[in-house]
Amino acid sequence: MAELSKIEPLFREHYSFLCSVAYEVVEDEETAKDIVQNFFLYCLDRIASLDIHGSFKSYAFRAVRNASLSYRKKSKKVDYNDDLLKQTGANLACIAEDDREENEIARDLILWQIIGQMPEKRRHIFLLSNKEGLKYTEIAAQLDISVNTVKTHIKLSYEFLRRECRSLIRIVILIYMWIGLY
Amino acid sequence: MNWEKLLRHLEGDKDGGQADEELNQEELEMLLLAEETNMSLNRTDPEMKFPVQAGWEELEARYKEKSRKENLTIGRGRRNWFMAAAAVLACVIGSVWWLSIRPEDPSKNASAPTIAGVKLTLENGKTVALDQKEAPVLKSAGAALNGGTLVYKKEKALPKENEGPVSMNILEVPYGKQTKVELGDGTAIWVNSGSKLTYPSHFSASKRELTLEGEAFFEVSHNAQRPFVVHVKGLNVQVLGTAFNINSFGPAVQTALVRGKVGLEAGSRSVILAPGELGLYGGPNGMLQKTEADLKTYTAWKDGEVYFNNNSLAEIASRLEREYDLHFDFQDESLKSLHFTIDMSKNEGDIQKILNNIRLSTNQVNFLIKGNRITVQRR
Repeated sequence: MAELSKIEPLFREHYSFLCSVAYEVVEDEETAKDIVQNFFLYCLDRIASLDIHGSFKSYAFRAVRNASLSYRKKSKKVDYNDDLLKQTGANLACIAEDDREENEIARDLILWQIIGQMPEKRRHIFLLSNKEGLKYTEIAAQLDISVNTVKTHIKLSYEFLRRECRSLIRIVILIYMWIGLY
Repeated sequence: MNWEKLLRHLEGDKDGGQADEELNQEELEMLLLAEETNMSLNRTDPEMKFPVQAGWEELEARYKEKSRKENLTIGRGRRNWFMAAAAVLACVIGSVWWLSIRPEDPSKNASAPTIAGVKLTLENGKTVALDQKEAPVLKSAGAALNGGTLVYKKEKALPKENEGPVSMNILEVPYGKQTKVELGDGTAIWVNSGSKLTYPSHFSASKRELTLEGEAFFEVSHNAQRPFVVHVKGLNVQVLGTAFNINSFGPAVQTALVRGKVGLEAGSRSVILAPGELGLYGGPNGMLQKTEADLKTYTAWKDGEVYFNNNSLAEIASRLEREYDLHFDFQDESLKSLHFTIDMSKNEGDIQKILNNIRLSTNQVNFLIKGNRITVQRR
């Protein structure tokens, strides 16, 4: 059962998140859990032969989403896509830098701060979409603007978010390390 | 970054949206960021709904159960010894493939079929090679060569009814080659090594019919008013718009359905296939039945891949013989029942590399290569 102990840290780190990702798509808790369980069983079969570096999370996210989407489409075959596992260079043997827990905490801490920096209208639209869960067409109707404008705002929000996350996460990690020293 | 596409995913359009396969790495990272943002904004803690500890215990249980099942198969007498060996070999060979990881090439298999030696007999009975030199002759038959693909002129309108009998083209693909045909109705057909496809340059207005010997992959353009039928060894494969592979090399005709719906009809019997299912017709008692299967085993060739999922060496050899124009001699019949799992791209290795990897993964077989004759020995 050596494989099990190898995969345990990855499982503990990502299991709940991946389940929610699957749940978003399949809208059934048991099915979501099942998809993620199967995904990890699939990884267990391969763990002995893998030793590459990269982000496990981004591979896992894609694999689980795809499995959920194809479940939804009622196609029975689930393909976790070996090529992709190789391409993204998922590292099953150790946790990559990107996946560290500190990143998650940091992200939460700074998310609201970043959103606060968005122009007011954009922030409003972004939150209507992400927090209220409104469709783009619904937002357009509510604010009396075109759907394309909504889409552009959403797009710009994400681009802003990504840019800010990258630079802020670096700073926060530095602070963590700095605090850790003392 | 294709924002139109990405926005559809972000908005949560799950039914209209395609699988994430189509997103590139950058788009995927963005989607991941969005998903996480969404969860923190809504203060949903995934741990509440999906507790890790319970999940972990379940995984442990499932994994142990799975390993126990695999061990059981090993302990069942002499005949299963081969199965056990196969399972081990499958693992070993799997690791060999993993380790010999191909260079990063997401641009996928641009495997242009090699068509030198492919022959086409035209409606008028004339036989030509598929070669740029024959372009004028092909053109007069309404076709053109585009790389390794034979493309027919798109039909602009349905042909008039009661045209005379449709005369046929015959496309013959020798061992070691592959080709692709795009017909006037929009249907694309990949024809594999050692196969023969008989088809009209123009289908009639009410029906599209052609005949296959060997193996081909079909992507049929949808037209319910104009059924598409493939005749193969006494089996009629009735098609609406769909994608599937037919292989008639073995004792049974195997029809593997990737998308859509096809009906298999043999005499008075019929079976309807759903995606993911394999239809079998023929064999010793002429049965017609269906089963679920790993379809990639049947369709990988079209994408320039060599793929076997725990298949016997006999099955593997028979496919390699055709696709690489080889002949296998087994010095010891029992070697035929060793099982292997192989997943590699044709681009990344010639036949020697494939055989070498099989050899490295077991201490039982050895391959002697002389030209295109391969002797399989017990080591």
